[in-house]
Amino acid sequence: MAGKYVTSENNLPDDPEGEEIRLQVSDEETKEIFDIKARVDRDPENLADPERLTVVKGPHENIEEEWYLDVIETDDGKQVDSALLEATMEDVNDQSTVINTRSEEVKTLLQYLTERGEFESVSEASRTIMLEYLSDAYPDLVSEYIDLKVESERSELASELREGE
Amino acid sequence: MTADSLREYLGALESCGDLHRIDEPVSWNLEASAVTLLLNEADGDVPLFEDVDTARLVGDPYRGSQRRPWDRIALGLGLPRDLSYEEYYESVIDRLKDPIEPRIVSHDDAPCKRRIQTGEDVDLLDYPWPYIHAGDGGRYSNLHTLIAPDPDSEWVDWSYHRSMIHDSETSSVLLLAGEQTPNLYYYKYERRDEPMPVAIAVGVEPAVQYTSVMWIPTGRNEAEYAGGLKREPVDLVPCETNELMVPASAELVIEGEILPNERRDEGPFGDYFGYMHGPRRSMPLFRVTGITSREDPIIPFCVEGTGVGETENATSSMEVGCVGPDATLGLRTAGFDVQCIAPWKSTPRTVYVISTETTDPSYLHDMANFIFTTWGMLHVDFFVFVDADVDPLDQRAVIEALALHADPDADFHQFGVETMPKVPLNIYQTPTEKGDIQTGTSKAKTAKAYIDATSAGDADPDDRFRDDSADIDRRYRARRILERAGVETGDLPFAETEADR
Repeated sequence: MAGKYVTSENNLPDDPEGEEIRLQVSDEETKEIFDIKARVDRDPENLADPERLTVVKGPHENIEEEWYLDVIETDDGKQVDSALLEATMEDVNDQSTVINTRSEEVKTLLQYLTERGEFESVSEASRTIMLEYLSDAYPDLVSEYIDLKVESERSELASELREGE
Repeated sequence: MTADSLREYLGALESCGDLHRIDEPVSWNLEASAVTLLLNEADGDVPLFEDVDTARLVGDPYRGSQRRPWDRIALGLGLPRDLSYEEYYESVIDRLKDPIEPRIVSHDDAPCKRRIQTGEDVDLLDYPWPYIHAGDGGRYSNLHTLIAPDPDSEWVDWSYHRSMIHDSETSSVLLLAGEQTPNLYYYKYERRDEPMPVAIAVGVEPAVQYTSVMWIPTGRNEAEYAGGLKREPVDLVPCETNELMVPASAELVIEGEILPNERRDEGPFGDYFGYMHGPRRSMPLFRVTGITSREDPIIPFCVEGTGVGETENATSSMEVGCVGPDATLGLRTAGFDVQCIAPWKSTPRTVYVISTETTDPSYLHDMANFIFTTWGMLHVDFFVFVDADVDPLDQRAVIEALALHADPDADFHQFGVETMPKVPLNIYQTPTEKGDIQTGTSKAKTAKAYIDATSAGDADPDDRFRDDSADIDRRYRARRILERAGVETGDLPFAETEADR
């Protein structure tokens, strides 16, 4: 009988026992698939609060091995706090959108790029580069922000249309 | 009369005594699929599970009877169930020749908009997607229409690609390059680093479901062909969160986008070959942005893998009842003389049998080339050509034709050796040969084949080696065709040059 969690041998690194690892698992009951941070071991005695993990192996994943894991985190630690993001969006709406930062290095490099013609201004350079970095480093956050913004604009439009009726 | 919705079709099944309603609560976790599997094997009724947590399930609703796999599909088109396969085929072909433009309906007139989830409300796990086989990598939606647009034209493709549910907002989709929608994704959207807008319409009306398993040529309006099958316009309605139009009569619509350069695990899954197939592979990620549905939606599913041997399921029956007539029309439109094409019973998609009046070897080779470079590229391994008076659906007649007329020396032809893409769900390639490449198909390309089991190939032995100058033109043409297919013809007795003709 399968354990509470199921994963594939392919999802385990070489020699995973004793290490804190991030792996993809399925919940045996709901079949939901998600990433967790955990310690895994074949011997439950080596773990603090072991739960059963079935590891499937073989070209058709039909060979099962019984392992155990200690769950450390059930998300990737970067899960977006939607309530906080929404509140931040409302705050920024009432504030100036100028971002101040003081750095000789950054200013020099941005100005160089601007004078080379890669950007129209230092302001445009900093905006473009920051947004590109945010999209790469925090894709879930950017995605959630876009969803909330679209939803907010849709609600605003819907209520304006209703008022116009 | 053609059914306007899945519900209406199930009502028609019930009127014929072919629907079995199950009121007891049933689990989506293996139980619904187990009941369906047993009914498939027993050639029994179609099961409608009325109480599966939050919605309803129906197992293999388009499964035909084992003796006449097209009969329930005919019911969905308002055709008599007792038509012979020839009559059924020609009726469907006639309808496909007469496409009808779809009609746009308003939000309020669209049954699929009774419940709407967008933004934070979206939760795929609100619905009882079935866990179909023990050992599957996850729960699946596997009887639906996937709608995706060409970014460079007005064309919108309707097709079918299984999707494994991950969590509330994401699933992975089996996209194999060589098929129309995967080609759009891999070679256009992903190369441009753009998401592909997608809608998965679940529990669509029969005419739409049938069209989505057919091969409609690239650029043609799929909704028009569905209208042709239905003999009236299909109603479409705009999505909530993207600009796609979806069938208004669907039970449930999942809106979203398939993201570029993101992969998630997909599989293992027991697919149409009849075997549990793994290991899991990396497939594109579908991110859900909206879900709309009818009240108390019915989600159809297919116990994939049971459509082999004597047993039918929705896939195997739709191959006979939908792909067969469509492929026949396609070949006739391309100028080939084809009596009938049908999948060889027990092998959904893998082997097709083609009956034809014209049996000239170079003609058959041209036909094989056409099929292997279009709808047969990925899933079809080989064809058998038979005479026009052989019934492709008659197992015995086909085997008899093979035994009597297929000369192993002259009539077994390999095609495109080491160049043809392969669906990685096959069971004869090794895991290494299959690999896990970016575009989904097997890493190792293979050959295709066709067998000439027509009687006209049985030439008089004395004639085979005659050196008749009237044959030079034909031999030269044969050489050119083989060379285009990548065959080395240097040692073959063909005309050497144009001057020899």
